[in-house]
Amino acid sequence: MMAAKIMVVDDSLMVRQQVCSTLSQAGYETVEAHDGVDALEKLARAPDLGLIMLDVNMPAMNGIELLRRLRDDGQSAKIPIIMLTTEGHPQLMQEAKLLGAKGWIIKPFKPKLLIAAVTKLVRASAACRS
Amino acid sequence: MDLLTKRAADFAEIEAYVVKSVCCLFDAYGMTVEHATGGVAELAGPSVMAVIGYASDDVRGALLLLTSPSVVMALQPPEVTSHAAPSEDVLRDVLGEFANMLLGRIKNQLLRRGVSPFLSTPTTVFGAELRLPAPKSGISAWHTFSTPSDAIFVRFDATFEPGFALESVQDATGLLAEGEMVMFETVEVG
Repeated sequence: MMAAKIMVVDDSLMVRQQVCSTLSQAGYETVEAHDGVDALEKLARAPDLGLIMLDVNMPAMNGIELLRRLRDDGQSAKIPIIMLTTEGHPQLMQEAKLLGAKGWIIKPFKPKLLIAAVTKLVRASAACRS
Repeated sequence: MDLLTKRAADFAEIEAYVVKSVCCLFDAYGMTVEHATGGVAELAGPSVMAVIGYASDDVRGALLLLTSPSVVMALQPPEVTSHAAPSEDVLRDVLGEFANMLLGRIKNQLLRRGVSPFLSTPTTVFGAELRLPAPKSGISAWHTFSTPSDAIFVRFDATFEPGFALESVQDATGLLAEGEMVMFETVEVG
């Protein structure tokens, strides 16, 4: 089976490298984006994503706004999304849930938990498509 | 209790959250820090600064981190560390993310007290003899944290509106702590 491709959207290079390294070790391919605008541009070139890891507080376009745009777009609406952020604001979590996010992780992340969540969602998403 | 006394008490409680959050965050990244009061927030030679703002209806302000490049290099997670010396951009990025995570931790404490600020993204600077002017309103305090190499200086600023109040500590049900996860469809908190 081909490795799923995961997009990591975060304005911090350190976080992107940490998450991508963790995902690569688990056999996933990764694509990095530094904010919501960059993510939309890269998504247009790589529509075959298996999952998106998404930060909330970012310049240019924040994670909640990107989530809203992805949900409004037929092509990307089915890609599972996990929010990975320092935010633990219940109102933001509820907003993300209503917009279709599948999970919420507060940084700093635990690699085993992150991989478990990603694997579960990627498998569920692949099963739905087939 | 008059308003000035109450504001000082509120600020002291928030400062305790700042100190606790700094110690826990750096410990999570393998760096033991020790809090000290007093001292002067000055570093000789190049330094890195990160500033991040917050605002709610009744309180707004900023958190500032200032330290040396060697401390920031020591904070880099192993996945990010390369053999080459990190560039100024990398050092600014790392300290900016620590400021972000630190303010996130402080916010998570404040949420339990009925205060829910929104956070900005960090602004970072690399240079020599960096200074940030004191805020023009509100209360501000510097804290020094010693590390195995240079010190980390942390400044917390807060401007309170008349209606500000810290509520009594609320039940943490529904609030996630750092490193925890919730899946929205089948709830699994790690």
